Amino acid sequence: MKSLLQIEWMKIRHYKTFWILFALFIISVFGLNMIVFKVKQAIDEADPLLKAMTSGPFGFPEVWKTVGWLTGWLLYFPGFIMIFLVTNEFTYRTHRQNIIDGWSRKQFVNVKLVMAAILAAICTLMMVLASLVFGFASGTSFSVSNLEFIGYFFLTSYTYMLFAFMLALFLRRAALSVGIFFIYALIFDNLISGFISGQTNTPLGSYIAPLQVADDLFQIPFIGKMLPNRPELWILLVIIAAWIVFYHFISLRKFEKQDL
Amino acid sequence: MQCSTYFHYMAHVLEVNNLVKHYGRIQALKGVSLTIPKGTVYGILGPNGSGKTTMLGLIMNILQPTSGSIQLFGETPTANHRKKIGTLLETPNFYHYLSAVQNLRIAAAIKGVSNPDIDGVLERVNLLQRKDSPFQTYSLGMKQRLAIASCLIGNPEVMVFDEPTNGLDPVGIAEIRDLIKKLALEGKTIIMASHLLDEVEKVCTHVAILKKGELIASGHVDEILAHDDVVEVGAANGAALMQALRSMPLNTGVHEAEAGKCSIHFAQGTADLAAVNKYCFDQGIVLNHLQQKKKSLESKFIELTE
Repeated sequence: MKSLLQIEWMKIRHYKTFWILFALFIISVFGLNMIVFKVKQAIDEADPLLKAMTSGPFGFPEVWKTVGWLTGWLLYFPGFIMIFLVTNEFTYRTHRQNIIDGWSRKQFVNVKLVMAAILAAICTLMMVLASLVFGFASGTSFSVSNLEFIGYFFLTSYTYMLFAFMLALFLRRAALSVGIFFIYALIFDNLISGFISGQTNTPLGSYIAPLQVADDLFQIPFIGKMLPNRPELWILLVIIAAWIVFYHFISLRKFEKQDL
Repeated sequence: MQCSTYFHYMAHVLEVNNLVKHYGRIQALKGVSLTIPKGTVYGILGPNGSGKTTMLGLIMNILQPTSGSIQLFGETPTANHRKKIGTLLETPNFYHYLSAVQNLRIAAAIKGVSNPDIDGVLERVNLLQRKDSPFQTYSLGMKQRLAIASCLIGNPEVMVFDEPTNGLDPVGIAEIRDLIKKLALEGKTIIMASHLLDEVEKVCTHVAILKKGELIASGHVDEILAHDDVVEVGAANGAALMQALRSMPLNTGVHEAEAGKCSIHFAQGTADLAAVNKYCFDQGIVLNHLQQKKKSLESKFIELTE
């Protein structure tokens, strides 16, 4: 696997689009959290009563949940990166050449799945850094509770990356994959989830929609606890694990069976 | 015992058995069987759409066969067999934003060649001056040269070239044909698909002819692509002429040509116009037309594949 990853690195090292999107993502992580952090500060100063009601979302240990939830909205960027890493191969027909030159089909898919995990790990690292920065910036001291949200964030990121990977593998075209990924993740996934939960008056929608199940590891800060139909954590984790297994299975199967 | 050792030494590089490929309802290959011995330059000749690329794609595992079997180096093909074959299939496939050198490093890494002679292979295809330019700035001919350079990485014993002179100018075509001949002299086995009869004839030792997914002939180039000498003759009584010519010794075929004329074929280098004239006169036929035709390669090709 190490030599496969070295080859992937040779592919992206000089790929400008990759680095531009990557830099934008990092800036956005800190930028978005900064905006909300500043707005919250301004509200607190204007209304001390509200400050007492909402218990410091940027202080430890709440900051993990808050930054995790906010950063989750930016997972489109690494998702786009994931899509381009796959659709490039189809556009340049290098997916064929890699096989012709001596990779097995399985190796081709497996190294991309590991790339998805690496991207998710980098996203998680950014979330951790941002949480530490804003946790300390709000004047609170570090505490060890809520650290499980780092793991939840990794699961959310990995689910997004795998979903993007699978779309790119099936659609093969960059523009189409990006368009469908963005619209689906932003609108339809929430719509499906909200509709089902609303109709059944249960958290069923959270469990069914493939991305919502990962999103729901993080409840909306400030008001999250007040929402109806809160899903059970353990059910979410089981379903996420099932989706991850499914994405691996379907991607491998697709690439191993088809004409390239 | 000796026999089996000998046989192993002469092992076939490639063996294809009853290979069938359907794309939906289209039958691209209809049961092709072929063996390619070590050390040959094997041409796969056929018009566009005859199944050449499909066959090579199946061999390189980028297409899945409908049925049939393939053996590389006498074994069931795996990724490791492909590492030992330099392959250009259909189009040059490279990362557009990377230079020639960067692209070839990736190919070498996939093949597991630890110290690739990148400059050496670029030199052999005349691309050394442009080795650091991005692939997307290359002309079609340069892309094709880079693809051939990529095949040379690691000095493989077997190479597969699909339309190797595609997109090259006349000088480039001559250079690449020379390169292929040199590789053959070095003892490489070369499998080359082409729709150019002339190219196969100049470069290959063996040829297989594909037509609409079926193998219609295979063997030594000299046997398969032998040129007949063709003599066109004419007389007032065309029917009597035909009759007479049919019984002439040594002819390899008589065909009706345009009004009142017909053509008589002889093995390469054996046509004798005077003998034809004398023979006809002795049969009581006076010729009003007698001409040796140079048979074009195109007409030979059409004849082979029609």
